[in-house]
Amino acid sequence: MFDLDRISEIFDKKFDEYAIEMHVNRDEQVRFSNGSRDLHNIWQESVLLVFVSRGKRTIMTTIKEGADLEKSIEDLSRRIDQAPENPLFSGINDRKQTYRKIDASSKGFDADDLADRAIEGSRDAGSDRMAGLVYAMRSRVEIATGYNRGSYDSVGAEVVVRSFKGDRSGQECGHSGINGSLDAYAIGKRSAENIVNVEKHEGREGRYDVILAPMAAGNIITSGSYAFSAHTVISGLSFLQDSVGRQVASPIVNLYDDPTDTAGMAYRVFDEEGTATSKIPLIDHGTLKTYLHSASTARYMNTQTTGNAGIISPESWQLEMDGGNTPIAELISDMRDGLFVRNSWYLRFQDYRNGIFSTVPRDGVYHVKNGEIVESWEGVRISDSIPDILKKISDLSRETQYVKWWNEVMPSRLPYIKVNGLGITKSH
Amino acid sequence: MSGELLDRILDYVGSRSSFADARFMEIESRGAVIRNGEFDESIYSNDSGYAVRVVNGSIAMAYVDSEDWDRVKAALDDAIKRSKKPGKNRIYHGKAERATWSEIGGDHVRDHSLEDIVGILKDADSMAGDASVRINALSDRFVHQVYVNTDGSYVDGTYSRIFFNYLVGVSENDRYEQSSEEFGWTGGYDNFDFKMISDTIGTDVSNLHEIILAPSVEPGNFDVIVGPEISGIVAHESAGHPTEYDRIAGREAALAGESFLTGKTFPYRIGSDKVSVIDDPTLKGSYGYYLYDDEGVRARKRYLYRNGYTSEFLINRESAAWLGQESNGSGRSSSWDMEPLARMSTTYIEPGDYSFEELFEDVHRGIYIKSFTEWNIDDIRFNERYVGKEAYYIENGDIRGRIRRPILETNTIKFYSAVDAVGKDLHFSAGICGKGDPEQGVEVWMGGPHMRLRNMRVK
Repeated sequence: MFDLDRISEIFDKKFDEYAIEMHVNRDEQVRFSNGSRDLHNIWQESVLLVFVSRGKRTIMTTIKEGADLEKSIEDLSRRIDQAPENPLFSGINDRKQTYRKIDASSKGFDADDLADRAIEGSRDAGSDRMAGLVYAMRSRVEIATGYNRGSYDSVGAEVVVRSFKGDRSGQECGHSGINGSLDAYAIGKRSAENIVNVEKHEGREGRYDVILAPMAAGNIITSGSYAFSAHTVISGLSFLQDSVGRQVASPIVNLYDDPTDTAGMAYRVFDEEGTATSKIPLIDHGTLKTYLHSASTARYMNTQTTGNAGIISPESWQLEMDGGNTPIAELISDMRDGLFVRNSWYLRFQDYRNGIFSTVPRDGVYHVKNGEIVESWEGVRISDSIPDILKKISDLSRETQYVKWWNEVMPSRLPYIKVNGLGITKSH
Repeated sequence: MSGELLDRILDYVGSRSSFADARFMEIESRGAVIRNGEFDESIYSNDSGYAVRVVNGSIAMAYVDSEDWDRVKAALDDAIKRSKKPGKNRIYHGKAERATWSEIGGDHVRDHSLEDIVGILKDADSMAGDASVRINALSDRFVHQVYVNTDGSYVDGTYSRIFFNYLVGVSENDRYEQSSEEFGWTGGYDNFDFKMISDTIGTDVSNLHEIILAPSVEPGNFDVIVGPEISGIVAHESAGHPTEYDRIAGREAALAGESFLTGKTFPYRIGSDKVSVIDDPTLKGSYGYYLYDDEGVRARKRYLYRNGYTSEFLINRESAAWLGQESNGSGRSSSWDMEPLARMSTTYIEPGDYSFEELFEDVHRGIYIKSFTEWNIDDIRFNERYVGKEAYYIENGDIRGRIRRPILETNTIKFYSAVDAVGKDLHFSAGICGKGDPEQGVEVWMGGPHMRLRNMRVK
């Protein structure tokens, strides 16, 4: 184990500022397909994530347990002098922080059990076959800067199941932190139950009212979260440039970054420069309240850090959107002619500044007429822009779900989102 | 870490399993970014650890970055215990390999300082002229790996890789147009072709100034000539990925998906007999170059599609056993803490015999799409879309005015079936291909020649 007191002393003498984040991880993963397990992964890792500065020169590195510490620090000291000055960097957060206490001693997840339950749930709901994975994670996280010391235990789990009935698929996922609940059986079951056996059709291009299930919404919302980072704004790549205080979304949209929600797996107590994290309102009734900041980007924009360092490039931790008042069943039953999209993947941008993209729906793309699912569509794509979608949100389900899937949906909690006039294109 | 425990680890797990292998991998990596002319960030890391695979009733892997035997042994014991649960446990053995290979070039990456990297980035930034967004990034990796298994294999490999990528954006009134490109090589800085990079940046920015003013295409059916960048991404997405056998067998179903080839009888017709697609890890200097894969299997060139039919799949030790074939050396792992999966290396459409001029001369009404911006494909690698970046109308065999963001939204069979002429040129682009969970980005080249497609819908 690293001795952070001793390491801090050395860094104190060698550099103007430093932020050292220690991660000691014990993670497990079970992967399964076609009803049986493919692999059980076990990770046992210890690493220091190090940021140092000398004046406006900065460099980041990692130091592994067992490395020659003196040599690593000498090496870092030599390399930082080769770096040019970074005009954006103006020092890490030097204010004394108070950190939330998290007691994770009694909480843990069993990857084997979660995997068995997920498979069982899918089978019980009549799937022909299924594939998926389960993570069970535990990390000790500590931070040392010249101004603050803190630590917490990060405990979380994630379940993803894709079920098949014939040539149709359904996919569901969930995640949990120390205060959440993760019902792997229910996730497996839903992934199969959600497959609707209606006639398949080639999709038709046009603009449709579309209900995006939390995974599909998560693919779009979390892929677009780059635009909230102050660094992206400064770089000229955000569609939210000059938009703080302005209406950027439908008035029913309230979006937060909430690393304090320990029911989700992506909770964290401090950011990478030791700033205590908090629930940050990003969009309040459609109005953009702030960008995501580190101390440096905040000084650059003459505001306060939001606790989202990335010292150079801030990022969101766990996006959460308030649900609305309408049950999902009612959203569907009230739809006269539209689409219900369960999941989507492979979102790529034509243009970051305008947020223009397409993404490929999967695992259930249903045509809804007069409140009934009447067809299953193939070969279609959502082709639109994120700023337009935010403004076209017309309703939100009462239910919200914790979703995280691979790199397609970052950890988040989202409702079903109804978007009016969403662009749908198809292959020819 | 020194790797000193490798033999002890193999002895320990080998006597407690039906098959075991172990890797010790050291990765030294560096990188820096310049944003709009200003230094943005730099990173340097030394990473190392052991990956140990144990096969019994099922397969388990332990990843440890410690050389404290008690801690290592605890992880190994856990993996041994987990591997006794029921599951899939077939694994290709093959012959024992004893080999050492190296590809670090003459101008070693480790001899270059951060100052050198920053100097290159500043030069690149200056090539972007008046672009309002200019982001340039350069990174390199030095990797050493020793692989051993219970069949007696010992493979020691050393290589270095260099990656450069940029994003430039141009504004004009209320319009914005952007372009990003990626370049990569295996070897030293003697392979690093900065002239090509700087020429590309300069040309790209100058093109963007014209593209931004260009009209959209009037949707319709056209003969389409695609450039090597499009051929390359098509080869990667709709030939490379669907022939990864773990996808065909359903192992990736909940992640990157399956394949339109699942359940088909092989060889399966994918399109015109003009089309052959190759994956070749042994192409010297290529970004995905290797001589032995990360499972200690000798690499070789393979035809994925040949004359319009499927030919060979990308397989690793696991999928080779399912197929009852020899592994063809496609097992790649991006790091010591990742499982080896069936992956591509350099995937390209085999050149034909048409000159650039011959491809065009027979086109009455067409569109030339030289490069692309947005692209994606569905999870069975069938329904795909490429949005053109540099693109032009063709009239009576001549390149006419530019068009902005033409969209080719089609499917794999239609695309390959429409190919009636394949150029004799061959160019490659670099990329980082993602697969697996945790996601593993592995270095690849993708490429091909110019190709002519008849009667395609463009919008």
